[in-house]
Amino acid sequence: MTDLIGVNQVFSQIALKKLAYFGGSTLGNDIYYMKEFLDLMINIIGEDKLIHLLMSDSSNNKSVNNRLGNQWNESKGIKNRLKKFDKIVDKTKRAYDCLNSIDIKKKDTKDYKYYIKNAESISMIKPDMNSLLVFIIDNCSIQKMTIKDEDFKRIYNKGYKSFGDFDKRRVGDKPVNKE
Amino acid sequence: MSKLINLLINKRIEMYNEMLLNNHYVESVWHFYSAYSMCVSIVGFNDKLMNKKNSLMKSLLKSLSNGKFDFSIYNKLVSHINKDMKIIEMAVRILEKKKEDGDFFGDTYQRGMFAVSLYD
Repeated sequence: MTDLIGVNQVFSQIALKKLAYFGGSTLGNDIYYMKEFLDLMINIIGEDKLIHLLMSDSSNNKSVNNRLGNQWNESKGIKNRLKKFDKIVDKTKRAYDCLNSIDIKKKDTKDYKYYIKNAESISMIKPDMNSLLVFIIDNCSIQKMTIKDEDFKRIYNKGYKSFGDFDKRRVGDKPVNKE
Repeated sequence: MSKLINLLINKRIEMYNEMLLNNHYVESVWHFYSAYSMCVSIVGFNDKLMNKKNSLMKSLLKSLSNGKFDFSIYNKLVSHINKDMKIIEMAVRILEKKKEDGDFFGDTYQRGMFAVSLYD
């Protein structure tokens, strides 16, 4: 049993929200939130510390984790792959933002087809990124926390609808009068 | 092993079932394989058919964006899902064993400390 890395309450809440959206969405949009979570946690833990932890891992998945740690800064390492991944994931996020929540149920719409076309560029099974995700969660204090059920379904149910207290609008749209 | 990972896997499987019931086949497959990817990293399994499954999914998405959902590709993926369910079972068993051993949360305090902050 190893000591856990303490995460600030505020950051852990942000991280949990990102994990909830990751768990509740599909087709590339989940990978966007997963990547955001990874970026946040890498900055919280610290890159050097994370590399050291990955290299000294002795769990069931130690072969993958040790490789990730050893090849971190190489051209084919996870650091560069995460950077390259940014552009692809941004496209899928933008496509998802165009969707109405109804579009997810009606698959013949133009926006849904555009979203699906963007999802084609993302592979479904990503063992390296997932092992990094599992490793980071396992080593941080957020592992003992839970996520509300409603948070998981927020992204799926809302789609392109107003989110919390914010009015989500496309650029150029007129503001809605609430009177 | 953590409670949070257990929760994420359970949710993914739950969503997989829900999507399947609502006839969202592509989303259901994606949910399943997201859970599977996490389970692979828990078990430490090296999947040799990973590229094949990824390409099957891509061709399924291609067929959907062309306006025709290809059920033959979907059936191939379903046959893979039936086999891959064993990996999820293995991962869940590992998590349950950790829970029984009391290793579910890890140490929440630094070693050498004689008190735990109640703030957390």
